[in-house]
Amino acid sequence: MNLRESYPVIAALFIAAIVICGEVLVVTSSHNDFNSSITVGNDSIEFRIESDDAHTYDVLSMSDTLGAPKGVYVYYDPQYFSMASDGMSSVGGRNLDEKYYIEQLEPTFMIRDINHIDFLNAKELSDLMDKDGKGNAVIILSGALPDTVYDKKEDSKVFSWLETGGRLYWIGNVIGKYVVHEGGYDTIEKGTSLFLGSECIDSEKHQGDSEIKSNGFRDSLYLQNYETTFGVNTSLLPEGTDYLTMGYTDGTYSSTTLVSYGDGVVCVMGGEYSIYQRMDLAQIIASGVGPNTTIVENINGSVQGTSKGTIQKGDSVFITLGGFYPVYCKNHEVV
Amino acid sequence: MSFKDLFDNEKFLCRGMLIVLITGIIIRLVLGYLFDYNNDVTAWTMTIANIDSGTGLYGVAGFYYPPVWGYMLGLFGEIIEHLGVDSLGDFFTDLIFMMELYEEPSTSTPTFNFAISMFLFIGDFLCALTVYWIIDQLTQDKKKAKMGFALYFLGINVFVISMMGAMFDSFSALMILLSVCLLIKGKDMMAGGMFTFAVMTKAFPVFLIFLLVAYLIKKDREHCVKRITFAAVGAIVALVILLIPEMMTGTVMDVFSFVLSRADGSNALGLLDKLLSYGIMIVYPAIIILEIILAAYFVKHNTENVEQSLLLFMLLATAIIFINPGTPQYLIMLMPFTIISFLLFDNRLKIPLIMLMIGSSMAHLTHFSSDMVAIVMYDGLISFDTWKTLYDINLGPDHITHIIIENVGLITQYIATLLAGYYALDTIGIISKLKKKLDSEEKPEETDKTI
Repeated sequence: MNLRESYPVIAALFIAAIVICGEVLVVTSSHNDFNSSITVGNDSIEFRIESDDAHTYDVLSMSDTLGAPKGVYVYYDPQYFSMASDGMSSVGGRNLDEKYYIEQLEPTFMIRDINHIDFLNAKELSDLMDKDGKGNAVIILSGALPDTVYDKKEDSKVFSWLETGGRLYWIGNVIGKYVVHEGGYDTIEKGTSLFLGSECIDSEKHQGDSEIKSNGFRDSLYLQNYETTFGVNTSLLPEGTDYLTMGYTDGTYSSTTLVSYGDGVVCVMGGEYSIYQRMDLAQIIASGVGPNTTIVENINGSVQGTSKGTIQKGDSVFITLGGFYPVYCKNHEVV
Repeated sequence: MSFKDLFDNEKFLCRGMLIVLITGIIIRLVLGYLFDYNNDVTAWTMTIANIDSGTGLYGVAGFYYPPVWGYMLGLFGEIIEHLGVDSLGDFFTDLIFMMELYEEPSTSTPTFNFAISMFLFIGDFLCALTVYWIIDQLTQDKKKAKMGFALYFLGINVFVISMMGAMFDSFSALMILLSVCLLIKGKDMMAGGMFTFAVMTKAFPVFLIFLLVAYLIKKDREHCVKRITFAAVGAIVALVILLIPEMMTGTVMDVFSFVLSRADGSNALGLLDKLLSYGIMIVYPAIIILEIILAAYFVKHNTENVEQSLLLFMLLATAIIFINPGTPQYLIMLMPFTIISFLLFDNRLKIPLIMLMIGSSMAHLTHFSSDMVAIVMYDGLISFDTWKTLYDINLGPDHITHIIIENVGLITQYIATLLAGYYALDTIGIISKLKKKLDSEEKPEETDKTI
């Protein structure tokens, strides 16, 4: 073979080999390439992490968590009005609207070992909220609830569902301010108070510029959403309210706040739609963080092959591989 | 002794080539470590993480190009992670202020930046080598071929885009060049496959299909149907192979988001952006019409050497694509054809070549301060405060200088594109034909210039 004559063929085959090898890796990479487990002792927990490739890891032991959700549900009904603001554009790609956000939720949760989520329309949401809320997480991205579960009053279906332990994760607009119908929407005076006990949110655009460092969740869960628009001003919450605020603050409003409601939780996430917000949403739901959760211990390191260690005992252990770019997360309940 | 005298007409690795190679490698090692365009390189880190996690290229947001570069990132990520690179990057609260200019508050690690630069080096080197091969094949003049290699390998805009911008346009240019080489060698099926690879890397080469088909018709009219069929089969097979993962996951439309998002205006941020986006809907059909006319003209055009003629027409066809003004990285595709045509046909092309190098580099370098984030946040080679002062001067609230320099760069590279197209038209003989038509009554008829 004359190398000089055959150069284009050799070069083309070389490039094709690089591309096809990469393609095979794209197809074959999976959540199952990683593994983690815990062994519970009297005062401590032994953890074990496996990964063929090098990745940083974080092992987070927490107490007073909500536990992993029994079911994750996303409300989406194109027949109903949506109050979500236009959202941040994904640079160079598709506009990040409500539909695209929802499309990405399944893979986002799959990375965090939640392999099934259900999408509910207004009627199905109503059917779900007819039942006990315990352990169920409902995500609202439309910035408003449909009239099937929220009718401007304290005895609306959503509140009894929250009382029984439902977890409501709110994104897209001021919580409680709007109720939507098939053809439009109504504005509710002091609607936020029905959920959070006070009018602690406004519609102005805010952006956090400093981390909430006091409880350590920003670093431990790699929270990245720094937008505080539609976020909670926790200083206005009624005295005695159990809440946890984390992520970022602009000094007044926070990017993420979890507030107790009966046996349930209302989690308000600030900002317009963004990749960062979606990742935070999944981290918070998967880790089972609640208004009273505290960090017992956080250990980090690097794994290639197998890594083992011991961490102080809490009621759950959340393991993250990849840090800011999570490739694997798993919540281990301590029983 | 001139630069040209450093090259001899014998073996590949002469003194001049060693100087070119060592200089090019040293520049790339330094730039690759010190700089990397934050927005794009963090998209690559996110893409690798998405692949690792099993969500593929388009399952979640992060990768917005056709799939070939994504697959290459898949292999690259696997290699570096196997070699022990455990962290790809991080999010920095101190950088949130950069979002005012739509720049990400995250950055990749210097190790990652260095590694991706070395990976992109492969594209630069092979593209330069292909320029060498083409000139050598068409002229048997090794000295000229080495000049071609040097002009691409040491092209300022080439290493600015690859090493500082971390963009993969050299691979796209390489694939379309290889496609041309394979057609010349009569490897039609492989040429078709490589053409699909080029299109599935950065879409723009798709407009060149008309000229490549025209070449097959002109070269071998008797067997052209057979040859076109072979090339088409290669192209289709490659397309199917490349789209298997997306067909499996139902994300085929995402493959085309790079093109579609630039045409539907949905991502446009302001009125001007929207006008430009919707303008594309008019410009793209116009480009297609011009490419068809050019291809038809190529078939009819008198020439002694079809291959040499094809290369000159490729320059014109590529310049037509960028009638719709391209960003600095897109114009990398114009570089090899300009270099080849400059060395083979028209000395005047050195002017657009130099303008292209300077203009594209200027347009990219205007945000050089944000390219330095990694060495500031990780290595502390420059203190954050010093860097922030630099950033404010470069891109801060009064960044009028940056806007002026960027626009001068963009205008320069656009004029270079038009000028390259004009000289190509003139060398082909179209300009003289037009002039002749205008004063047809006074002057006797001329025939086409023969290349």
